Amino acid sequence: MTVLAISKKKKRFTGKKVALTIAGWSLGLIFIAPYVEMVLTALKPKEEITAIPATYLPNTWTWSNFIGVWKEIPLATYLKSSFIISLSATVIVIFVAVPAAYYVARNRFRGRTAFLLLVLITQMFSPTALVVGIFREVVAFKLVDTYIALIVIYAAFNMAFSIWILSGFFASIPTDIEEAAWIDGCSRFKTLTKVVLPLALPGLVTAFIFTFIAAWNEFVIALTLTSTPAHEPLTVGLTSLIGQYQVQWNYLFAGSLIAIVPVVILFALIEKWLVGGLTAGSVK
Amino acid sequence: MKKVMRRTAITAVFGLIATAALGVTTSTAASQVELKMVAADYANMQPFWDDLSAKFTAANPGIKVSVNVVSWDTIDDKVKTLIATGQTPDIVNKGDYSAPAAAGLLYKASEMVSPSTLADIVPTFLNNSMYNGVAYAVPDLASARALFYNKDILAQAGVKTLPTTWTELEKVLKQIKAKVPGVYPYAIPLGPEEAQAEFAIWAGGNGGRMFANGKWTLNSPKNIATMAFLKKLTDEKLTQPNPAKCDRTACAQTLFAAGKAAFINGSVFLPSWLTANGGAKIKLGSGSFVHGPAQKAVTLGVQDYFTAYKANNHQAEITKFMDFIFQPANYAAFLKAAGGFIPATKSAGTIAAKDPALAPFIKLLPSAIFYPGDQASWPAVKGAIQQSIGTATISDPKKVMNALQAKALAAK
Amino acid sequence: MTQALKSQRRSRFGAWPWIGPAILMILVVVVWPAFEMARTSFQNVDMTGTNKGWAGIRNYQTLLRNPDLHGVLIRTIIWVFGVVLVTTLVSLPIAQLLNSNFPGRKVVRWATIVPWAASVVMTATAWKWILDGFYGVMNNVFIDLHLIKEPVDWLGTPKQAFLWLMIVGVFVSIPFTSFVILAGLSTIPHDILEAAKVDGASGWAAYRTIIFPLLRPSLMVAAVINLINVFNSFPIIWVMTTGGPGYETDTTTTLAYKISFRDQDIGQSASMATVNFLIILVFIIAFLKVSKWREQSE
Repeated sequence: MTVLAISKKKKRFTGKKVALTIAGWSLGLIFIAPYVEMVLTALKPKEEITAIPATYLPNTWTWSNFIGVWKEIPLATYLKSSFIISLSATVIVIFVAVPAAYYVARNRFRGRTAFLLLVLITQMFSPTALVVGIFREVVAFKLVDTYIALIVIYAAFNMAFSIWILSGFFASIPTDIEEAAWIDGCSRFKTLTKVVLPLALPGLVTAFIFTFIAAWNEFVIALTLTSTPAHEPLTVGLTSLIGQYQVQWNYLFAGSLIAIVPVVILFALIEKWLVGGLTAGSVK
Repeated sequence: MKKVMRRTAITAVFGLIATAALGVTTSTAASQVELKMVAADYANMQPFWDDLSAKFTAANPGIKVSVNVVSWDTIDDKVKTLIATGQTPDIVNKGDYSAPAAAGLLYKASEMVSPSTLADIVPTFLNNSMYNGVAYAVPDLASARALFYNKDILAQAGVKTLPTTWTELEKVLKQIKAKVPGVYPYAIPLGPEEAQAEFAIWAGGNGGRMFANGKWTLNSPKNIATMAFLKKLTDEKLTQPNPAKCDRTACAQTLFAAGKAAFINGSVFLPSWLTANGGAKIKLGSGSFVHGPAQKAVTLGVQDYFTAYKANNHQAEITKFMDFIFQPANYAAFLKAAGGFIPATKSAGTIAAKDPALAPFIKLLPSAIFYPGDQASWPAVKGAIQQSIGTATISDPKKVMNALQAKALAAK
Repeated sequence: MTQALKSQRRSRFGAWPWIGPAILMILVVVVWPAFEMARTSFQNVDMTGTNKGWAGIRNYQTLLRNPDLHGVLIRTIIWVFGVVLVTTLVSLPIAQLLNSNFPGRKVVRWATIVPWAASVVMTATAWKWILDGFYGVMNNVFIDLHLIKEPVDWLGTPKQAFLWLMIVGVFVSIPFTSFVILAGLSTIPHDILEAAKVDGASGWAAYRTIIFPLLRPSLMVAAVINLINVFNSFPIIWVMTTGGPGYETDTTTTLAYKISFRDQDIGQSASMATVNFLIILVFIIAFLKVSKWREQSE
């Protein structure tokens, strides 16, 4: 009996685990394959990029592409602008969406369905369709070529998703937990921050990532609203590598790849909170 | 308690945002004029324009110029949005002028620059900047096209003389196809990037024009015949597959650079593009375009424009800045930054004629045809051509050209 | 409901302090410009962007007379439903996989977010290069694996190109969908799963009867957001085929862009954009009705 038990414990490489590992790693490879290809292309000298037939690996490893792009365009400025805009927009969304989602989750108030539909409808407009109207407003507020215009606009555009997903998470938290906290003497605010939010953390993280990425990669509105390199985010700044008859592909790819890095780092930092929530066993 | 806290917090946040918004509206000194310019990005032009506007303000205190450099595929949208929302710029540097000219939004060329600057502009280019007989734009630079070929491939196929007519061309292409496998005899890009240029070259060589005698002639018999000829070449596999999906830079020129195409219609800086994009080893030859039966050879001239808008009443300042751009040293720097184009002024032109790369093109200019850029509906027609003319090689040329003609007539 | 919550509802300001800021932002940034857009669709706008006055329904009439509209509408329906359906079906097992324990799971999760983190323009450009008929790596791989003999122009013919466009659409939508489902999975308490195991349900049965129903809220959110985003998707089609040849790979979204910036007809484009909004509104309402959203959220 004991022998069997011991051998079972030692058997870490179950068939199931091997299958999962292979599946997992294959999946990861599929997802990064096109970007690996971009990295390899970005490491080729300009002359080799459009060779026929294509080469798998660069014949000349041109690491200088990744260095040169910082000098060719003010990449650092673009990164800074993108970061300020995206982070600020995300913070605003969290601060505005959390109360709204919480209230919607806990109360059957009269305009509830209308509110949820309004919120959803706003997500249905593509920014391209609205850009002229938005620009008119920005001009009226004298906020052309500023960070604040983009921050507020991006926050508003991503409100819908955050409210929807957060209200779903809040709704799935049993009310007994909150009431238990109130009975124990916690204030409403403290209950919200110390009890409810931690349980809804996966939803918060998802909303955070969604908004940040949406703001980070937005192009059309940024293009219309900015006019100086000091305020242009990365998406707009990289287009200055596209000349009329010449596209500096090597720098364009290198720059685009550099643009992915901050997002992945951000995700790596907050990813662990995506799992958690109710598994913490707080019901007891 | 919490309710009040929340309301206070929210009011505070909005108060902050409002203050920030108001704080941004700093007023400038009363005597300062700011010229707003939107310029197309030939090749990373921002440093040049920043430098030039700084020099200008140093020489002309009281006038500030802010230049927004925008890439070619987004500049049309940008300018349109600016105009639509009452933010009309003062100066715009891009590829057309006829729509705002027709709408009465522009200063005349004679109002934009001083007489001496205007006199230095090459007449051919100024003639192509007119609307209803009056020049409403100042040309900034131009390019011309020529036929380019890969000397090695032609030698390998035993082609001794360049074809000049369509019949000769077809023969030569078949010869190349037979003798040199793995190579497309003619790279013909009819994809959206610049289909209007490719079409203009072939149609012009057959005596056809897009606009003639006061009306659009897209579906003239000559033009339909031209597209039928191109369809024939495609069907006979004498071109790369799918001309409708082949863009000039990413597809046709790239094939040529890799030594996979024998002939290509190229612009004045194809040689430098090839060197920078893996085609340095190609032995390049050039000549005039082929022409249809009983027609003359032509070349295509393409030019871009400076336009000045009346909306902000800054005529005096605009003229100062435009003259500043055309001062010989500044204009030379502009041409250098844009890279490899033909100058629009006579004085710069004589210098450029000494450049062996540009000289043959400058010589071709007298026989150049241009786009019907003086037609107000040209931007819409150009867009329609870019979008669908390539499909004539895979379907019925007559139907496609008729559809284009209908679009041209419908465009206001 | 308990006393505490009830008193909250009867407070003097009601819902306003909670949902007010959200409503304000949405009204200013989205609703007013949408109103502007609809208004423009009834205006006569010339090629320079200047408004020339009331045009009635003329823009809509021009739009409906557009010969390419019919094909575009059909293609849009295939595009939206195809991409969203496949994405959802594929994301479910992927989320399970990302939730299971295996060595290197963290790295795989990071890899999964890359297509989401990268701008769609960049991803579409990468795929366009890979699929290029002349210098794309896909041809190299297939030829080296002896699957094809000669290079194929993958984006050459309309139907084949459209298939690849849909594949890329699924590719960029899977990460987001998987993570929404993953977040949903993580809210399922372990006790419920344990209880199921004790009851003898395992594997597929447990998934079907316990886990999947609990995932409904996440799936709903993901499906709705995907329906909207795929419908409005522009970069994939534009970068890879510009809707061509001609209009053969266009959807209503790229067509609206073309009408505005190729045909220079801003009024007609605004009417297309308004019609687009109505289409997606109908889609979503139909979807919500079919999936019995209101019942479920009570």
